[in-house]
Amino acid sequence: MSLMSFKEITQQTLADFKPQLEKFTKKDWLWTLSLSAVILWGAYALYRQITQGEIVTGMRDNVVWGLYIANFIFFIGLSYAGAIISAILHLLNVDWGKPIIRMAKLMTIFTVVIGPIFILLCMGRLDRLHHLFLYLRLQSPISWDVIAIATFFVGALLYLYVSVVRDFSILRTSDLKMSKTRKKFYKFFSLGYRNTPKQKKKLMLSLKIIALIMIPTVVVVSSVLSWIFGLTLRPGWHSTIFGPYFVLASIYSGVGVLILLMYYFRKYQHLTKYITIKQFKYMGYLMVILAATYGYFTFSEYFTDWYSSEKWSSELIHKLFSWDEFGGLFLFANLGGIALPLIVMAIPKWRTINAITIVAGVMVLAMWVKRYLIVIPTLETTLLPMQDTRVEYTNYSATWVEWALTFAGIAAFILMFRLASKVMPILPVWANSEIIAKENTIDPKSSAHV
Amino acid sequence: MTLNHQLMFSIKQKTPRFAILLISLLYVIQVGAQIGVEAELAYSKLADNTVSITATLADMEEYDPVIETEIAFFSRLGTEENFLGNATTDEEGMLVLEGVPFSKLLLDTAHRFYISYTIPDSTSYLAGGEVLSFQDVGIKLTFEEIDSVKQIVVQISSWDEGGEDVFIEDLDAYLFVPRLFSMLPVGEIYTEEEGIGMTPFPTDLPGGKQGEIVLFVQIQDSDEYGNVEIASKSNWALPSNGESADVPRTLWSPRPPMWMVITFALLMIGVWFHYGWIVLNMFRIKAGTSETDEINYEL
Repeated sequence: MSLMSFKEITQQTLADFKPQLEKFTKKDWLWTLSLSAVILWGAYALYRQITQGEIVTGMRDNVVWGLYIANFIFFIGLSYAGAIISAILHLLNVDWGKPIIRMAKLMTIFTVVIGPIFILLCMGRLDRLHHLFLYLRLQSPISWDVIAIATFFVGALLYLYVSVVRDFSILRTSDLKMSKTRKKFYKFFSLGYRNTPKQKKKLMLSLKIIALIMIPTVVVVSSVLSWIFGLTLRPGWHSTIFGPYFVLASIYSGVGVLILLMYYFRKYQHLTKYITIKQFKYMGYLMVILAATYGYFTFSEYFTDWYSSEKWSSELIHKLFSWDEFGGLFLFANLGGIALPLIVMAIPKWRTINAITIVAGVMVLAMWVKRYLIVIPTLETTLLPMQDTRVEYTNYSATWVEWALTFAGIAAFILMFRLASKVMPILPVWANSEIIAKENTIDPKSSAHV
Repeated sequence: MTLNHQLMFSIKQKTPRFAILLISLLYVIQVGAQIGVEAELAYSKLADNTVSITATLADMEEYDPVIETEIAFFSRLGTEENFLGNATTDEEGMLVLEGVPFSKLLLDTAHRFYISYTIPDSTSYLAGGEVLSFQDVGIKLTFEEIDSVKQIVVQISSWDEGGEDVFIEDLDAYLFVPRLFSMLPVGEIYTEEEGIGMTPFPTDLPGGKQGEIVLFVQIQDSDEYGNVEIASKSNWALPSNGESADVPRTLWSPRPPMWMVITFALLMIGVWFHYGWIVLNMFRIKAGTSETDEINYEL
């Protein structure tokens, strides 16, 4: 291999993203239009919900939360996962993790935007939304969540921004074919960064501090989310383990979605050079550790409830184990969400990119089902005896409106990722160039040629 | 000259009787096209001395609800008439006219009144002849300690044709106290001699800080008197525990616990201070830029 300067390495790395950054192909249009159509379908469902009221959903007096809240927990969990995974990988300076850090950060931003929209959809009186701020009660877990998510959102934006400054500076000075507006955009947001020793020191310190801040912030915000449930006296929710259980479940499902994103961008942006079997295997190992811990938490949670045979808890456990009620979903959540990753990753020859991706896909679905099972069966287990009431008041069944908005959320997530990959390289160019330089050089301090 | 003008001209010129006949004929045709309406009416006299009238209207042909139709209510006595108010039926043909001052009702010497309705401006419906007729009652609610037992005493009376008081015996009345979502039933009385009924005051009824409470007496669904209620205050309920209202972690408590406020404030200050510091650092990076655009690619 001929010797190359670090500048040449960055230019070569950037060149791998050129097709994505320069062109908006027919395929891109097709994806954008298809995803927009799904989002529009959701918008129509939202219009129906606003004009006709929440009667168009399956939510009623007793089961006051449904798919929306399950989606909220799921998306916001992904957001927390993206932040904590990228922060840990950054602080540990793990080379294999560098190609996936930006995807994790983007996942954080997109899901923290999508997630809270679902909580708004649950609200019967959206016109009173501002009351949350006007009449904030600090003793309410809902208030904690509103403040926590807002704080987290700002932190996540800052975290992403600080980490893209270097890449924006490369893009600013690159020979990419781009419009003047776009050039101005890179110029403005790169802050005139030229990697002078002073600038580098400030940037690296800022990045380190924001990464450090994001870890406890994620633990706090994720726990606060769990306490919306855990601090009530309802069966299945009132649990001391709920805080760590939610933190763990968030990171676990986030790892799964990251594997799916890695597969998607590796395949469709031809990033095989950067995202290799190594990343898949290491993320797979992480998935196994989290699956085992999550499995232990799950067992501990349900075993305690089952053994104590407390009336309400027993009623809930019965629903979760009954084939006529939630038995099928509960089995899938545990097999797909816990057993499958453990089994597949235990056998070395199954540790392939395709197998790990499929397992991650099933696991992510199972984790969504788990969120559904946290919300619905508990709300269907009424605290007071219900007599002569309509079935739909105690038994939840999601309507097309809720499904349409759920799919709109997923479509928005994918669309945001596709559009973001048109504005910035989906992998950090500078950081990956550093790895290439490190792998090919004897003296990493050398500036001219490596 | 249009056809209408020709017709009007011929009516004016030839004979006024023809015009009267034509108008009468048109009126009969229009009335004939209207569907008769049947109404179920109910009356309630509330504790604030206002009246509420509820009605369910259906047409007499298919018994379909009379929807989105304005109904006018009147109190009539002989040739006198008082307009009480308008209300519009909903999708199920139901309406509620609320907040009518009781003083608007025209009472005879026995305090009997008559409420009727019309359907103004409707070409489709014709009001039935239903008339609500009830007699007003006087309910006296007192709290008396009899033989060391705190009693709720209710006396119900009415008026005879000469306007003299008449006590009502053998009548059920129900006792309620308002709670957060609805009225909590706390007892029932039955009037005997001199229209008096009594029941012991509940010993386990939580009230305000000094035990204050509002008690409602209701006569319900009486054919003679309708629904009538009155309210009166007492301070015989159990005084609420002032301490329980100050439990700091309840949503209705005036303030959260101090440790919660301090922890929250420290967390927020800690996190937002760092955010601010990072933003400041970003500005410093920008401030340190020079005219040259060249990036230093030193590792």
